[in-house]
Amino acid sequence: MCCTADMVPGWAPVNLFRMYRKFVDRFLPTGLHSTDLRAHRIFINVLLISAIADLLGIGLALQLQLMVIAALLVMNAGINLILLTLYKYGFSKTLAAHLFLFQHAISFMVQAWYQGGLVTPATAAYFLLPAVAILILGKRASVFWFVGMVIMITSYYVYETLYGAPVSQFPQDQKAYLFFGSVLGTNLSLFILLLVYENSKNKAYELVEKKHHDLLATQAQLIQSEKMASLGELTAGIAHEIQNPLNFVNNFAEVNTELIDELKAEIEKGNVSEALALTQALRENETKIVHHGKRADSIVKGMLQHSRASSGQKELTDLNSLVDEYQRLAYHGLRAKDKSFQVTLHTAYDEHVGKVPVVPQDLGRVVLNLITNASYAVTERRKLEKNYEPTVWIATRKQNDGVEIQIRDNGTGIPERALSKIFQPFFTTKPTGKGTGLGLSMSYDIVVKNHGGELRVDTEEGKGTTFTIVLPNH
Amino acid sequence: MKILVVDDEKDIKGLFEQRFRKEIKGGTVEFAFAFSGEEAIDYLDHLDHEAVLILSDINMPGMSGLELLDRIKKKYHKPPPVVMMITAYGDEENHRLAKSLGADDFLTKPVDFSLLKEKLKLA
Repeated sequence: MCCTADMVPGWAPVNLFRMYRKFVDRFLPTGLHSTDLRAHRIFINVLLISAIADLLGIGLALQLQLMVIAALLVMNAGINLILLTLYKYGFSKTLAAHLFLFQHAISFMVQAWYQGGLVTPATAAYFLLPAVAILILGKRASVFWFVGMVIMITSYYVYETLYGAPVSQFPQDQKAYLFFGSVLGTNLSLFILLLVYENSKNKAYELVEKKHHDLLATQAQLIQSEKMASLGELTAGIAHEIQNPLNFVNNFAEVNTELIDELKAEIEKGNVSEALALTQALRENETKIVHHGKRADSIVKGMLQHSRASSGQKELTDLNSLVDEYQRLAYHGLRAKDKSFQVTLHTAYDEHVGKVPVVPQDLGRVVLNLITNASYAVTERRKLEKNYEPTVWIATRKQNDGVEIQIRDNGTGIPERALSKIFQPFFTTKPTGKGTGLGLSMSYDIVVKNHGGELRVDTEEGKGTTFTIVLPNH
Repeated sequence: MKILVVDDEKDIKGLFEQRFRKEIKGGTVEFAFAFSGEEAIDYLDHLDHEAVLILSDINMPGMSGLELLDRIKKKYHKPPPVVMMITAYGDEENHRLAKSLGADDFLTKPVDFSLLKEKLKLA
């Protein structure tokens, strides 16, 4: 760990470790991305550690006066260092790795010969070839070196059945010591390999977990921004929508104040018929004030419902008024956003639809979304065609065992290649920044998963699109 | 003075008639109402060159107030009718657009009638 190392700068093993790491990094080729440094460091480590092991082996070989083995090990270590240097200056890693394995394969065979053939610890070291290959080169290279290993062992076997085992060149009194060293070395190498595997597996898991976590966070953020985007459209619509009823509430109330003064004057004059006419006017105005006050109230409620996190609770809702409310909001929202926006909206509500169990905010969002899409499609077509009447039809219909909301447009239609993907999250045909690609996928989830309904699409390119929401009536 | 009020809200008629009841009684102003841009154009087409003041909302289904303003200013040159636009409060964008299309004055909703009366005196 970096921090531990910084905290105890004087501790020798830590310093040694840091020096070693710096030394490893000296062999890194230039111009690498910081993300794939790890694989390169493992490769350098394998070659360096193997060279160090070779150098240690030289001592043993000299002690036993095995000059051929010593020379072999010197050659092994030397070639390793040469390969590392070449690698640093751009030599192919794959080639360097294969050369490294190849020279060790030869080294192992020679050592086995000197130790006494097949029944010696040197043959066990063969397994290191595919094991190291899988670490520094990958699966295919490992299979290649596994086959190589089998061939090497088999050739020894064939040779020994034909000609007998080679005579061990070691002093026989040192045999136990030598075999001990060889077996220990091989096992140590295997153990280190396993540790590296375990470590990289954990690192990979951590990385995947982190990426997964990041992805979920991004997704949540996108869904939120989609909600906020549609809310933004709504607020613009609401701000405008609410000014109309307020205009009437304020002004009729002021008129009534004046009328009351007039009424008082007429009563004082004893002019009964004038006074009665004034009370009639007052009454009518009051009715209007109440009507527009309620209208403002329902608009505000609609806005609150939309901005509030969905309760997820189904309520018996008057479907026609829900659709109408969101239709108005969508229209005014779009109009406020784009001054040139022009579309004729036709609504046809079936009175028999009545109350339906739905989550009002969620279904409202679907309606808003489909109308926004329809409006986008007709606006796109308007850019292309003259004498074109951009139109969106909104209808509700009572069915045998459910209700239907239909939103139809005479816009550009959905091209064949896009049709299969429109309900996929993040799929959008709009230019970057114009759509999150979540609208229809969210709508689909709301209608199908949360309401047990159907969301159907029927489209013809250049003619228009019809979206049909079918909801069960229970 | 003849004033044409354009708004898709039907109650606007009752409101103006009551707000201006004294002026209407006194014969100083006369009102006509149109509930869409198209209706307003229709009305103006059938009107002989009578001085008229137009008071129009912007957000209306079909032809918007801005389109209406544009058509009026382009088509009826003599005498150029005075057009006041009713914009939503804080809608800078519409305000700017209406100005560039030649709107003579602006009102915001909810309409302040005493302010409107002042403006009409000057018009």
